[in-house]
Amino acid sequence: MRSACFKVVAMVACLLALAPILIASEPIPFSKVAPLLKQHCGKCHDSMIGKPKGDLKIDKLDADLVRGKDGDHWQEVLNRLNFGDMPPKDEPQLAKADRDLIAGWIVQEMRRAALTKNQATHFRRLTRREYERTMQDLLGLGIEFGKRLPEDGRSKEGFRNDGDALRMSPLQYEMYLQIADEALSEAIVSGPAPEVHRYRLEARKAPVVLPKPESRPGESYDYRGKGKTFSIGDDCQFGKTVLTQQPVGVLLPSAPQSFGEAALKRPDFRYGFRLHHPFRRGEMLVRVRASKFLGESGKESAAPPQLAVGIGCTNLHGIEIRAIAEPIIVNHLESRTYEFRARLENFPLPNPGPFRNENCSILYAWNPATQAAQDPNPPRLKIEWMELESPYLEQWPPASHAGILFPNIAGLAKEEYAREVIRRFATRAYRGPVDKAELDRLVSFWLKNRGESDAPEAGIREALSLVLTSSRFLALPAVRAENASKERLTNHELASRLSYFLWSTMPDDALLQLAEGGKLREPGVLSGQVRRMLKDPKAWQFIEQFTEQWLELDRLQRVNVNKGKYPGFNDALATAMRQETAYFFAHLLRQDLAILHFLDADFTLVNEALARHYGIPEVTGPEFRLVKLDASYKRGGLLTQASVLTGNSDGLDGHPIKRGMWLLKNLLDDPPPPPPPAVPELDRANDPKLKGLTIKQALALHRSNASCSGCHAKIDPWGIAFEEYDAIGNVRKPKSPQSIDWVAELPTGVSVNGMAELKKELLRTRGDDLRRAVLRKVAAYALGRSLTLTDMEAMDALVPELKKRKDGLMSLVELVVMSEAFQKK
Amino acid sequence: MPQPSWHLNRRTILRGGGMALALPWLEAMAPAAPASPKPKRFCAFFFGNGVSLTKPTDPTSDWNWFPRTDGADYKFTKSLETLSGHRGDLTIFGQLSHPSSRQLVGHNTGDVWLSGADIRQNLNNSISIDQFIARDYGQHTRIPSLVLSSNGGTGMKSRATTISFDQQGRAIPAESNPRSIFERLFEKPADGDRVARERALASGRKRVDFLLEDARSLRGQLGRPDQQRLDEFLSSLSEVESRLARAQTWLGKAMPNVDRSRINLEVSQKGPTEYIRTMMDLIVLAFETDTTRVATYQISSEDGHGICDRFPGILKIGTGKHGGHHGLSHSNPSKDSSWGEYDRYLAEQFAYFLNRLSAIREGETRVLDRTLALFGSGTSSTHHARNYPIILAGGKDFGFRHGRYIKAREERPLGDLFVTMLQRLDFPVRKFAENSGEFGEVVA
Repeated sequence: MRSACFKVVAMVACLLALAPILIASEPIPFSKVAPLLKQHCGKCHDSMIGKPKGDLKIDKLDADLVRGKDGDHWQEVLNRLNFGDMPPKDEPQLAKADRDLIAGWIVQEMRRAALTKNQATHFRRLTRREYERTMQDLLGLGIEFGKRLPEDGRSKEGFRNDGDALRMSPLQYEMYLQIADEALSEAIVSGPAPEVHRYRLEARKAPVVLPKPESRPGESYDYRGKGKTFSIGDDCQFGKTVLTQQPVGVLLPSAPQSFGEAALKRPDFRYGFRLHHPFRRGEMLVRVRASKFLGESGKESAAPPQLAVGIGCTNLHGIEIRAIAEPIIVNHLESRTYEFRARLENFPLPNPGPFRNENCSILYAWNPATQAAQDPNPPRLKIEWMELESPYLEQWPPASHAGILFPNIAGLAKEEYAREVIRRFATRAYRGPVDKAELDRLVSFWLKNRGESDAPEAGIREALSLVLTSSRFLALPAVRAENASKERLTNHELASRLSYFLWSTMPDDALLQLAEGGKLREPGVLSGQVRRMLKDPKAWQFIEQFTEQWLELDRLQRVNVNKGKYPGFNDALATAMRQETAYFFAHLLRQDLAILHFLDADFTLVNEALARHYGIPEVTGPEFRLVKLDASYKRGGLLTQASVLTGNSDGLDGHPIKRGMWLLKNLLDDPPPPPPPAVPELDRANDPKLKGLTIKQALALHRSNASCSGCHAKIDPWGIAFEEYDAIGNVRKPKSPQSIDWVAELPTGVSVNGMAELKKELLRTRGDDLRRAVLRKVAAYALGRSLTLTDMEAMDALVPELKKRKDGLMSLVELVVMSEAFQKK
Repeated sequence: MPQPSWHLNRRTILRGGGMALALPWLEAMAPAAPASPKPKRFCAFFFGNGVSLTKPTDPTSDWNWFPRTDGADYKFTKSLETLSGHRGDLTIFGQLSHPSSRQLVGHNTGDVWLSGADIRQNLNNSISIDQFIARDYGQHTRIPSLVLSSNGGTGMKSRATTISFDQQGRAIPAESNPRSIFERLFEKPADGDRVARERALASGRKRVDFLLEDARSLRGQLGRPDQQRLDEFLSSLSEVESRLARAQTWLGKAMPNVDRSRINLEVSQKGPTEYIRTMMDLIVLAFETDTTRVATYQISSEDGHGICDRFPGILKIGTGKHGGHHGLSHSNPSKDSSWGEYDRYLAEQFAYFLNRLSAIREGETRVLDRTLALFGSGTSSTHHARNYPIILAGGKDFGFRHGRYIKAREERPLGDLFVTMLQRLDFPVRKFAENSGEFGEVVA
């Protein structure tokens, strides 16, 4: 007993030291908990009695959950308390405050124990996205390399770049080997330029073969002259019936739509090719000559027509298709030529044959504009012709080839040249200098094996494929430097960490040059680079992935929105919801606006679809723009964004528990403990007990259960205010002016009525929680690991500095980058 | 005329496609136990368009595919009567289906019969159970798996003429020509093919050796927790290396000596019975010689496409607009027994296969007892993607208890059965094909 006491004392001291960073409120000392355990559990579970029940000696449990071995036992104690079956019914019961005290202490200690298990790792494999983008930048090929890899796991915090979740398997390695070979055979070519298919289609005429342009390599291929392995036809439609028949080449609004099963419907109005014997790889150039068309009335439509182009394949019912780019607004009466380029590897392909109209490739243009309500004039798009060129060769050999096998102007001897090719490639791939021993090994592999290869390029491909499958390429950090510090990242490693943090790809030349010259850490340089990188379009990688993973926006995809109740909900609206959150984050980031805007703001960014959903007038077109919000919209900040509200609903109605949890977990980093095992989710669609109940009734039933009430009293009040919004985030009207539907008493005792008051209360009392939460989440993403205690302390210590810098989001990112944690190994 | 690109020549099959280094088809799961001395095997037989279902009051009531009562005392209806000799070796299942396919038109679900992929939004398939198994079993045999169908090739998406899909969900072209299947299985490859493959494997090994050394040299620079992560790279590479090594040893081994006269290769789809049986014989031979341990055979595909749709007509089952397999499936089984007669015919072919497998002994046991043979469709009646007709036979030696018609009380994921099958085939998986649990009732 004496030694246990000593341990407890030591631990309390330790706890006190950590107190400010752990949780918002004061930590609970074990000295308050021990007597309660003795009093209420000791009768059956004490070492002093002969046969403790269940062999549990609660006084002997190690109160040190960090180093002790009794974590599982404490978990069990917590479960029993949560279930409410201990102490047994016929024994004196725990007062609620005492029960909360014990449970609170266990949760607090378990969380601390979990944190100390996190290690300061820094070696991790690239995510699927990072791998793809690095391969693209390194090779200069726009192929979606990552598509073939298995999906990455996610950490407890939801981040996909957490090294603990990024596993390696033999299968994954085989994929890397295959992809490297295929990528290099695209990047480095052998022999003369291949035959090129060039066709033009005018509506309702057979496609014609186009002559080869003077400036381009590759002979033209004439499908009519070479047997029947290739055939091509038009696939145009200008309406379903003769009555709606349009003048040739004119497309009314229509787009591929879901059949509801397994395929898409072809648009009723389309202009395109059908290709038997598909092009499976390489770049394709599509040119379309188009204009706006006014029709017989000669009147303009309210919104102009749009041009979309997609590549795909057919199946028995319909098609699979993917648009090449965002639709183009065509607001001119004279014809203009638009060009689209696509890597065919990235698009849906038919089965390998035999080909028939239900199993072939397609190339379609259509008009995805929508006809405004009450506008008698539909937006009409006229297409004069459409051309395809595949493969599209700007030069031969391609730029990717010349970039690797650079012109040997210096006249290097064969071996010297190969060595230089390998050195340059590996230096870029490894994101830093390659030491001599490393290079020697690669070159000697090339020397030994080049004789076995058929073409000289093959030997180089083989050597470079080693680089692309080396753990130094596939994982971070890759740089190995003689005499490097064990503590601090080298300049090149720092450049990499920064680049993968903000761009999800390898550092660019500017960063590498700064690293090379040893200047990256000079005063002002690093923060200047952060600002430069955040303004670069590549920063969208950080914006999109971080907001999605931090704010759990993927929930939006999993919610099954009830189409009967919400007929206006569709894929386009769901996409717009997700985009709003990313654009909102991007705006704060690039303008360095205060992160308190996450809690409330008088602006947001919307496009037409979302503006309609929010009831904001005068927004037309698919692009997002900044709009001012006044109080009447009842919007502002993340809490009222449709992405969050819809993702945290059950598809039929709002879900206060999910919404409350979302707020506590993501914006305040103050999550209640996870529910005890075997507690099902509140599932009104499938649980017979809950069928027919309103969400509030279901919640009440849930809370009446003793095992749930303890925690839910801490969650539900936060979610009540969200009830002002329905399942897809529409503002509800109160049932009566005196309605108290949205009134909740927060655990702090403060009562709030509706979202506006909740936001005010959060801004008043929880600002520092938000600052800590955002710092921690950004740091976890930046470091690619679950934060260690030290990391967390370091982040929390940045709060005063962040306040000094007016809470700006860009400043926050800078602070994280400048921190020891980011620059250390 | 150039050869069409979809045509499978021997060389492409031998190479296994590109740099794949002819590695067996892929999946990450490693087996729990080292390969047992006596092999385990898996095969699946698929037919499209569902089965004849009738009401007890119909004049054709005997032609209901499913027995009328479940449990151990069920009676075979006429549709399955031809399997009665194997009652103790098989289980009939009712109310199984893949959850996300249940709302789809039944014809669409053939592609995902063995994968359980969700194709409601797009046609991206995922790995089929046979290829999942072949990823591991294929290392121990000359050929990782046999993928056969009466139509051959891949067909079009949503009506594939193969039931096997690789790790990335791509259709694996099925072989349909008995003669070339036999040659691939049992005749020596041309020297040129062998040399090319030898070279590919050797170069693959050299690369992997280099990468192993490369990763090891990085190890000293890392801290302890980081080393553990690098070790995952190292162990993955070692595994790839040993796969290549095993593939190499096959090149040096002699082909099994199979007497060509044991099998009738002079068959074509125009004589369905002989053709189907020869395809089955090829699987039996491949199992017997341990040339492969995994096989799939799509006897007929979904909908009315290709030569297999004409089988009933050639057999003089069904006529007029209800001729052809797809036509039969649109007939009215409560009045017309033709569809049921074709069900009976298909069951009879499966019975033939079971006869053959149970006639071959492997020491104390029959080969059937160490083989799981799945037989069925991805739709019950036409267009109805629930209550798949499913029969599982064999596998007694690894704990399967047969002799019953097990009918779930409500629609249950077919994946439950798949997971239990996988576990008994030594794959410690918990999730496959949208399962919600396991199927403990069918094993001891």
